[in-house]
Order: sequence, then structure tokens, then C-alpha cells
Amino acid sequence: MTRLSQLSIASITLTAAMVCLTMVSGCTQKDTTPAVSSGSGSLAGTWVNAEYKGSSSNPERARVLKTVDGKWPPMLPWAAELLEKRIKDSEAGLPFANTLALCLPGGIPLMLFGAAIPVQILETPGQVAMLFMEGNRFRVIPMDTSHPADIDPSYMGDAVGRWEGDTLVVDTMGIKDNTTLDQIGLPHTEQLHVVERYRRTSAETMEIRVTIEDPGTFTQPWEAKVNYRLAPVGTRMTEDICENNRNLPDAQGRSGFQRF
Amino acid sequence: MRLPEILSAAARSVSVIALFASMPVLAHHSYAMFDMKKEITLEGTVVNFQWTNPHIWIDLVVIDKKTGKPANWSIEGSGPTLLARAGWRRDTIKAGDKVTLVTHPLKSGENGGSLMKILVNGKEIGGNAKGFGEGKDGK
Repeated sequence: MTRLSQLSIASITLTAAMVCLTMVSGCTQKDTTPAVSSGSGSLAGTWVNAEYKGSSSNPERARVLKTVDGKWPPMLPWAAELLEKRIKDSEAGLPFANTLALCLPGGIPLMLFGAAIPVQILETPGQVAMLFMEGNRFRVIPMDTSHPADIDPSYMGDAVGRWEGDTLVVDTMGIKDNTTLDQIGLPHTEQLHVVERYRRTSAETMEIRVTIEDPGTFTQPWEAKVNYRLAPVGTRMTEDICENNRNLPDAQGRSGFQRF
Repeated sequence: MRLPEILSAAARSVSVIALFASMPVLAHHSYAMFDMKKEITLEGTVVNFQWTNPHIWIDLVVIDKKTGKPANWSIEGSGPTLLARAGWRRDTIKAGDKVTLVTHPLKSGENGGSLMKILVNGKEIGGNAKGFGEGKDGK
């Protein structure tokens, strides 16, 4: 290392320490901005969904997961009918209890489209980990390998990753069919195959494009996308265990409300 | 920046603040069970306060002013993580506290609702919940 670069590192460290000292809450505010601006290393940080449509101010039909062009997914008739029932139930005050509402993992890809609750990405040699604060769920994605021949269906599915230029590509199969693709209740079968493409789009933003393929549910593969932005500086990944569910579902799987 | 631009930027930031303030996060389940167009005010005594995930709960007894009869109500709030960001603590509400709260009631007509605003022993608690959606710089 040259003397000049040693000096510049020392000055950066000193500047960071001074910034830290001037902050009201002392040195607990960790900036998790990835040090690298694109490609490998550029996703390691704490992120939040930048375009979550909450149920308090968005009607059901606006909250259905749409294609990148804003169109409805190309559903087979059974899926369209089931989704329509869930929309109507929700409009009547009886929303479908998806797996999150049962205190189970939302699964992939629903957890990518979830509320603006932080998701931390860790990039380490040979694997990428995603830590979801909601429900304290995680997935560890091995890189440059293939899926096992026989996959037991699970909530997060079996995921493998690779870098294609500046884009992290994550391929996921074997996702349990009690999860849904959105919070309204867009269904899928265990034939679901999800390909996520993560790309840093600016200093503070990341885009995730998601290809959804499921011949048991859709007439053709389709693509959705979601933009994330860095979580506020100082965001800590804290415990969030779904321990007190007073919204247990009725016999038709619709969220309830337990009074005392 | 010219004055009209400054004014329009100010108007935008005000509307964003108003939006966040009125948009508590219930990620766990849908708000569709509540009537978001209706607001009712309840005055009562807290029987039980649950500072738990996925939601906080306030169980209270409300005396009907006309009949004098007590009624049990349960009010669901956001979760501890987002409420703590808005200044709440686990002992912000205690059994025995007198509260006045505004709620979006259940569409079913049962005695329950989602929390919008609350006064505890006459003191307003800041905010309903604060999300992480405001960006890296907290803006």
C-alpha cells in the first residue's frame, strides 16, 4: 500500500469518527451503505421496500401484484376465480390470511414485496444471505452451484445465485403452495419457479426484477419488479418474533380479530 | 429555486408527512377488517396492554354514557418496532390507565378496532407508528 493511500484511508477514518462524534446518539449510528457501487459487493446493506402499497389506504385491486407494465398476471381460470373470491372477501372485511398472517414465513417472492420493514443483505465468499426483519426470517443463497435433484418444498424454497455482470441472479424452486405471491392472496402451485434479478440502480436504490413461471397457475411466465432504497442510517436489525397472534383465521382462512 | 417552486416543494413535503402520519403499518395482516372511513372515539380504563409482535393490543373497559353499562373493547395497534421508532415504550400504557382513543372500528360491528390516536391519562402519545420508508437520511 502506498503512503498516499494509507494517508487517505486514515483521513476517511478520522472524518467518519468526527461525523460519529457530532451525532446526537453518539457512535451507534452505523451507515450500512455498500462500499461498492455496482456488481459484487454493491448489495451488502440494509434496505427497505420503497413502494409498498399498504392495506390501510389502497383498495384490494390496486394491491394485487402486477406485471412490470402494470397489467394483471396471466392467470389460468382457477387462479383468477380464487383471487377474485379473496378480493371480494377482503372488500367485505374478511381478508385472506396469508402465511404472514398465520405467523409463518411469507415465502418467496411475497417477502420481497412486503412492507417497508428492513431486509439486510450480506455478501460473503460463496454465498449471499438475506435477513428479513419481519418475523426474523432468513435465506442463505449458495453461489455458482445448482439445485439438488430432489427438493423438499419449503417456505423460502431452494435458492442458488450467480452474478451476471452487475446483476445478482437468484433462482428459486421448491416453494410451498400455501404461500401466496402477494398479500391479497394471488395463488401458485409447487411448480413455481422464481428468478430474481438484483441490481444497484443509484447510490441509494436497488431494483429487483422477478420472473414468475408456474404452468400450473399462469398461461406464460411474467415479470414483476420492486424498488428498494437504503434503510435510514442507524437502522438496527432487531427481534421481531410473531408471538401473539390475535388475528387467527376462520374456517375459510380469513383473518379474525380476538377480543378479550 | 423560485418562490412558486419552493411553495410547491413545501406543499409536497407536507402532504408526504400527512400521509405517513395517517398510515400506520400493519404488515402482518390486512387492514380490510377495519372500516377506514369511520372514526370513533372511546374513553375507558385499560385492563391489559400487550407490547407484543406482531401487534400491540389495548384491552379496555368503556362505560356507556347513556346506560352506564360497561363494555369490553380490544384495540389493535402497529408493532413494537415501528411504535418504538415513534417514541413508544413497553410501559407507555399500563393496566389502570385512563385513556381516550380514536379508532377505525371493525366492519363487523364488534367492539374492536385499529388504533389511530391515543391520550393516556390526558397526555397524547406521539405518533401511531414510524416506518423505515423515509430513506437513508431519514428524509
